[in-house]
Amino acid sequence: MLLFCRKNLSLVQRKAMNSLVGVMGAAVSLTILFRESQPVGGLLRSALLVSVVETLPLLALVVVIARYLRQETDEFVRALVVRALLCGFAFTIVADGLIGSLMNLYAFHLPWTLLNLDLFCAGAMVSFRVLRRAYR
Amino acid sequence: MKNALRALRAERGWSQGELAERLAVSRQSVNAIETGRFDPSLPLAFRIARLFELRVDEVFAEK
Repeated sequence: MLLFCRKNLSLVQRKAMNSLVGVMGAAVSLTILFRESQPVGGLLRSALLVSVVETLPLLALVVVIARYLRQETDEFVRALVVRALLCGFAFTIVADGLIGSLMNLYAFHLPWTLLNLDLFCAGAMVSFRVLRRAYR
Repeated sequence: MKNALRALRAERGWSQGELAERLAVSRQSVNAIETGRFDPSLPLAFRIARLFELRVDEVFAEK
């Protein structure tokens, strides 16, 4: 998305998108890192620690979004972004339900945190493009 | 809300982009306000009115 709409973004939006790239990179790195490692010692304690660390990119995403909304001076764009985020949530919830059911039925596992992050970001960005186009 | 933004802008020969620049908002914001699809906040409404040297109720009116 960043490659496709970079020239239409304001400075604040571009900074937020750059931060988002960092967040996604961290999420992918953590997913790969913890996929290869095995819980050691106290199984529950290390599993909880891994879960908390894997959640950090999600928290970082919230911080990036909150910071962007605070810095964006154009209230109309802010309203569009909020609507796009809500669409992203809706998209993620529906996709989660679908994928969750499939995972239960066919007993396979996907990297859940990364998947949610991807679904949310993709859903929100596509929604923002569509909403922005509607007000062109 | 109804507004006289398009007419006021046309009187001064400004494009939507020029008006957007004077108000420090995006061109889409100006377009959305003019077409009545977005109601500005009070601070923005006051900025618009001040720019055209009118009262807020002279620029905006209820439908």
